[in-house]
Amino acid sequence: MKRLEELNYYELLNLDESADLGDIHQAYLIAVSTYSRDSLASHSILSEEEKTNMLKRIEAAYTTLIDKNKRLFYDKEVLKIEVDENLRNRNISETPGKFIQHNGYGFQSKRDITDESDRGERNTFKHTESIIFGGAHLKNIREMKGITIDEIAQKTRIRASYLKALEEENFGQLPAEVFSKGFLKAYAKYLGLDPDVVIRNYKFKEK
Amino acid sequence: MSNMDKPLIPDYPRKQIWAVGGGKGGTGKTVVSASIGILLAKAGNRVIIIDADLGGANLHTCLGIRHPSTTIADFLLKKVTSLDELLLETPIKNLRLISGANDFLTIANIPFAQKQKLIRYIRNLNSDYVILDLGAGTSFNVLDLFLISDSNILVVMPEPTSVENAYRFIKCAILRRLNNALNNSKFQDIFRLATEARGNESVKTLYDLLERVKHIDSSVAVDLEKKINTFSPKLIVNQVRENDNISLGSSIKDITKKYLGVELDYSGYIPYDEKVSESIKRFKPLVTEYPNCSASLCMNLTMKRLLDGSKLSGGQEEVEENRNEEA
Repeated sequence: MKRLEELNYYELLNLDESADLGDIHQAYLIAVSTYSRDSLASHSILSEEEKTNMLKRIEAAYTTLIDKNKRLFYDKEVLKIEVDENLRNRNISETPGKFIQHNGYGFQSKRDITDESDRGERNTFKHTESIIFGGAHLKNIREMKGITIDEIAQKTRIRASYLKALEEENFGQLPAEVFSKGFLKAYAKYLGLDPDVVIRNYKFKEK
Repeated sequence: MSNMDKPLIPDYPRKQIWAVGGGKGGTGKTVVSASIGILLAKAGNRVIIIDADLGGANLHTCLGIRHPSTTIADFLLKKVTSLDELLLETPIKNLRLISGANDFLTIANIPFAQKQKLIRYIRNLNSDYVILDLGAGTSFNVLDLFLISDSNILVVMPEPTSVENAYRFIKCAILRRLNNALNNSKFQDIFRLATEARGNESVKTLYDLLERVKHIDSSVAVDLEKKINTFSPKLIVNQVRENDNISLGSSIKDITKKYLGVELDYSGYIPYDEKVSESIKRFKPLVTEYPNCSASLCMNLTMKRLLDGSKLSGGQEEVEENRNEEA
């Protein structure tokens, strides 16, 4: 058993040392949602301070592991582990495919989430794997879950045209960013996503 | 010391005891227990399911038995001499029930000796599986029944109260497990500190507890650490609704590991389903009445994970190998 302070970057994110970039993104998103301010999982057991500290460490772990050189340095100098070059090469070559696959258009099929035969822990999080929650990605998640825009509009009382504009990143049709952010939050919440993570990763362009 | 090295179940016939607990009431422990029992029985196992929710029994209703003729109270009041006499046939082949209904007033607080006797008889039951449907709370009776089991299942639902009680339950269970393993008054003070720890007190985590014990006797600390490492409850997130965060199970697993020092095995989630309450109102078991509703289907998948628990690590290695070949 390890003391909390002794956990290394991999242990913090529940990764093993051969984790590739996709694994790291996914682990990061789950970790952020675990320790976010209104997280259900941590509300009773951790103080605000403990959560803030953990989030800082998660951020540090993530920014190191996601950067090839920083990660190499960390592995070599801090953890003193032998770096398997083959493993690293594999990570790099796999990465582009992974990003494209989960960044909006490449979701293999609707069955990813809805397929009952595969509701394992690993599979249910497919939709959080991408780091950028762009409009297209959000739309994909919504469609995979079989939720219509009108349904969200009804439940959140946000005009359907605004929700559509958010998905299409059509900023001209959206009100001021501060309002749009509120819409996006409600939309994300309705989809079962962590609103804070979505907000942080959705790029509102200047009008 | 020698006590700790003895196996938990010495000479009794080999069977699996699974306990379903989780702290808060109303999370669906009983429906989950009934479903697990039925699915195991349908797979051809001999299953005995025990309503161990002493004082709040209702498992018989989930199995379609309205008025159980015998109950566990008959055993505790010595009207019968063995648990075998309490076995009730259920509508499902291979599945028998020991009901907890019609309990007398003080049944929830059975004394130590009676509890020991009950545990001994449970271990002696002749069956492939024994499922214990536990009550709410973290009383020693609940914890001890939870801890005698081969498989400890926690049912949590996505609500703050349930999540909060689940952590409390895990913490109480591991402390009780360590305390049971170690009947030595030398360490009682440390355990008391650990149980009462709030805020910034010194024995906040199991790690602190081990450190303290190590100062007194390091070999005891090693044994206790083994006890912690071999305790791996299975987590089921129940009644998940459309817009709940589905990574809750993973988050609870992460926090439990980091802050409580206990490694959970996240076994799956079961969606909220109107069919559950419909089946209860009809006095019919969910998984036989609505075998294809989303809750039943997910129950099946969760079952698979519970059964594969031990094999799972082997399976993952295979996947790893395949990936290496591709590269």
